[in-house]
Amino acid sequence: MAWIDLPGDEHNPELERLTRSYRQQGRPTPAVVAVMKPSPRSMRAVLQMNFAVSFGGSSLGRRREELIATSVSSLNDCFY
Amino acid sequence: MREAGKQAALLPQAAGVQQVHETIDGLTGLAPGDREVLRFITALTLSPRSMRDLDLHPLRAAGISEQGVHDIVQVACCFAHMNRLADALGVTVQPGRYDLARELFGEDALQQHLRWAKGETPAESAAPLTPRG
Repeated sequence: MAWIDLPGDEHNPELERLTRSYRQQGRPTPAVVAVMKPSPRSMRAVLQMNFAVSFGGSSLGRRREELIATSVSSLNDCFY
Repeated sequence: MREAGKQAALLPQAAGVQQVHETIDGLTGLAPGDREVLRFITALTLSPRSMRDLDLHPLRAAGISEQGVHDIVQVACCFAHMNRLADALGVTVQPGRYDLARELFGEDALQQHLRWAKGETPAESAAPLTPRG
């Protein structure tokens, strides 16, 4: 759910490609990713950044990445 | 990893850096270096203009490499970006994550979040999250 209208995955080829892995796994596109659908270019760039520093992509290891991520969200008073 | 999330959820929101640092200093069961990382990202998130090169020293003293220091900042920046996206555009926790949200913050906070996403709770009157101690 989001407060802006989001295009369907078939809206353009780049968006269809970026969200394909979620569909193939039978799960919805994570909401904070889905909200970037109006701009597939920025979605692609943000996803690349995310995978570079999270899900074990950094030198920190996934546990410490999660500790930082959750702490920053908590300090920012962001529930998501 | 779930334990790391619980520890993070204990951090009080809407508080000053000093208050959060005191909370962090009282946490038990942290892995070596966690306390220094938490203190650093607290200052970065709540008081970014106050950052000084001296703030990096405790990380290095805890054995964290230059690459590690860089990665800590990048992870913090990345999730701060996600926080702004979520709060500005009404991104809602998905049902598959409800159990984790309840575990970290409690049922009341989850329900408040869902009401906020529906526009039923004006943002200016939403109470800060109350972590479960």
